[in-house]
Amino acid sequence: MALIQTLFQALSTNPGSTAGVGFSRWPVMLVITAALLMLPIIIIAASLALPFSDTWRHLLDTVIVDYLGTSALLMLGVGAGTAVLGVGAAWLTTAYQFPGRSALVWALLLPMAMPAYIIAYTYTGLLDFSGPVQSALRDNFGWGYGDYYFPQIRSLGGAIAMLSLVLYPYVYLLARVAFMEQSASMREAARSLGRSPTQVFFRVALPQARPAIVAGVSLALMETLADFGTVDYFGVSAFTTGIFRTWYGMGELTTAAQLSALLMLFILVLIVVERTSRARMRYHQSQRRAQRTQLSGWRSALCCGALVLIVLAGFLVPAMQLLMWAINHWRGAWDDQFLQLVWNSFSLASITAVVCLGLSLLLAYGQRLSPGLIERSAVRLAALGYAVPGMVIAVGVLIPLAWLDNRVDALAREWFDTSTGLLLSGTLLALVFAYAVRFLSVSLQSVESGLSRVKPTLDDAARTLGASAGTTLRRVHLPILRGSLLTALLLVFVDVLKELPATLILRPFNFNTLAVRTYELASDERLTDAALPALAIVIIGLIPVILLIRAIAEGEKQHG
Amino acid sequence: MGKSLRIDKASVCYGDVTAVQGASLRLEAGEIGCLLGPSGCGKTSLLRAISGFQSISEGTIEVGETLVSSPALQVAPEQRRIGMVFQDFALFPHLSVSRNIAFGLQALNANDRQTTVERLLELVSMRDWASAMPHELSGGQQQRVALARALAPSPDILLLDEPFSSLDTSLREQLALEVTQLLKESNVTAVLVTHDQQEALTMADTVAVMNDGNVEQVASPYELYHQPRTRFVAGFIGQGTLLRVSTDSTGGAKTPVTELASALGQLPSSRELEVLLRPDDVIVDATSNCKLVVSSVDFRGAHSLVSLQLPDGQTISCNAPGHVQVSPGYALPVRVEIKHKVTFDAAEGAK
Repeated sequence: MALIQTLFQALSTNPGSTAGVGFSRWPVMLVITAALLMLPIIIIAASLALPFSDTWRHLLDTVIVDYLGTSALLMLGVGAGTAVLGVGAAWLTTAYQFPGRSALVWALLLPMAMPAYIIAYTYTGLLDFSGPVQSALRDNFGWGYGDYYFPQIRSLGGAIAMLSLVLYPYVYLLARVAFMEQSASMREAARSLGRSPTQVFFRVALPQARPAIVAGVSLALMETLADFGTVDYFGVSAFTTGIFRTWYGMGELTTAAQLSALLMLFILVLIVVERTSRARMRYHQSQRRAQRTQLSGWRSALCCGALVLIVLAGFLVPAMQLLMWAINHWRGAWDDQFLQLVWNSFSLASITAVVCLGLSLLLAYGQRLSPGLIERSAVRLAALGYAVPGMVIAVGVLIPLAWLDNRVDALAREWFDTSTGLLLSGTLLALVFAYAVRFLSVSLQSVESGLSRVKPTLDDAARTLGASAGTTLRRVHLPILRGSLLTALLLVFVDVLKELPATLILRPFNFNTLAVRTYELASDERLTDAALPALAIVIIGLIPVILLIRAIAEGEKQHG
Repeated sequence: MGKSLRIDKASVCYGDVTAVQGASLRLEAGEIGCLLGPSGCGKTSLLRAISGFQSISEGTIEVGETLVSSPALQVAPEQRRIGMVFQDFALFPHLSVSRNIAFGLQALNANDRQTTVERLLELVSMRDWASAMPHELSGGQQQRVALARALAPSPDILLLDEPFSSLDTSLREQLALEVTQLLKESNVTAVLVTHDQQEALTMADTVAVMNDGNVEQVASPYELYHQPRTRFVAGFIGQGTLLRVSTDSTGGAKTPVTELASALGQLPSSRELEVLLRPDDVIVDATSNCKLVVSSVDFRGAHSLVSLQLPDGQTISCNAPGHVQVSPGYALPVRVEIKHKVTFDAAEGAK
């Protein structure tokens, strides 16, 4: 709230109102805000300049190759998995008409509500040796331990499957739009030149949609590299697990930062790929859209069945399993502690959502009032955190706060002969700051897109009618933007609620959230007890998916 | 009651680019002025400088006796008491018609605000639409609400930025007349920006023709049409031809068409000149001995614009009554009557 107040103050003193044409405070304010939000990332990058410790050499000799190899395989697997699932689902739902299509269009988005670590816990419970599936097999066929082969879910392959199942919607969403925008005459031309429908897909539709698909896969891979819960639970030695072990197990913060910097190089490549692909995406609004081909008989059953299977595997089966566990074992999880968890999660998420909204308004509005290269760059850099894994941001937040705490402590000892202990590290402030770095872009995007729909002449009109910039914000922009602002709050709220790795590292001692509690219970192999907090996260995670589905339904209506 | 507007040698720069170069314009209280010129001529930049959205690098802008803009001073738009009607109307989409109009009346108490809103709704004949939302209105209605909203706080100056350009052509002429009448009734000083000369000539008391950042001429519509000071103004306002003519030592035009030579009368001697010939200077007259060959006909109903070829290859145009039926190749008898003689030196710029 203080932030919003400062924003209003900054707006009410217009630089042009007195004498100063020329100097404006906006660039300075935006650059300072951006620098603050960039701080953790800068610190991680700067850690490469620090001397490499013996631990680093030790890691280099032993596990770093392992981390690199595993992360590369993970990316390869999830990349292929999300591409096949996402492009397949997008093509089938845009090119063909079959029973259940319109329901599947939105149902295919449901897995977005399922955090990867939760689907991993659920499938482990389902497919483990003692789980219902293997037990049923043994009972039916009279097998015993070791009599049969069953794939091990807690493996690299398992992690790839879990991540692909919940991350394909990124590809699906972008590919779907790309396919829908493609013109009918282009495909008809290919058919008239003697190509079969399959050839049309591979030779015409797919190449045209490639930038969108690449952008979608890049986003899915960023999430893959950011994932900690799944790989940690499956015992897969990916980068995030390595960073966590180095910091938590060995207490080597600098080495953890250096590992994080290495991971950021991967991320940087993905950002560049995603940005360039997006720039190459083309939209042709006015062209005649392709009609969907009506499928019938076994083809339509096959098509529908395949898509239903994806939705089942990615959402319905794990959600049902969670629900059953939660119903059967709710007594184990439902207590005062659970209410405390819900309260902690909700208050943390609400505070972060408000902070992010305030920052977004400051950045977006500052850029609108004072458009320029410096301002634009500052805002874009401030939003960079979305691509950086929560684990990396946490390490980047921990280092400067620890340094500051030590300094203050040393000064206090010197001057007053008392120890202040740790003032900032391990406080909610540190956590909210890390969240703001990670999720600012989510709310910024929402605010910016809303603000961009407000014509600049409306600002001018308000000003000529005697309203200052601050009054214009209050009387014109905020009422018009109400929906966008609410969306911004909601999206950040849900993201914070689902977030695991940064919370795990930065939370105050004995402060638990739904996500952390789920992680702890699952790590203790108390999967059934973990079901209640996990289910709570999934249900809340459905909110943004429902918003998305409604937006898409409106788009469908317009396109017919 | 409006106030006078004095713009004195104002320049507007965007970085290295000069959009307006030393523009001057004076309007008395209650006058309607117009900035007219092709797109990119700097008229919108000058308008934004008057409204206070754009700083000026040279010169001054004064409203009444108050300095509002100079290189060292830029009074904020909200403190200038300058109202504005925008090209896209810029009605607040979340407010009803009456609340749009009331937006600038924050300083008044609820009663006075209500009275003012009702007076303006009446003025623009939008009383029945008071509680309608902007998106429910037609273009013409939105235009009237925008005008009412800008007039509500009784501004010292009212600016209108291409106010009719987003409306149907059929609607424009009628609205231009209506708006002129409204402005005169409200007795407000107004500045209109347009690229449409018809609008400018219909509405304005004083027109400033701008080209390439410069004000070429400030004059009344009548004067602009009949006494353009530069070639650009001559070409931009109305139709017409600049005819190349050389004169002999006595100041007579050397042309094979005697009718033309006698109409031009006495000109500066021994010069290469360009003479502005308007279509209404050339009149169809069956009794005339001067016959010119028709090269093309542009039939417009009430009249036709007929191009006539002179023996030396130059063409002039003639405003023929619509019932005169001619086709290319026909020799049309015409009389030339030049009431306002406008000549330019062919070698230099304006005379």
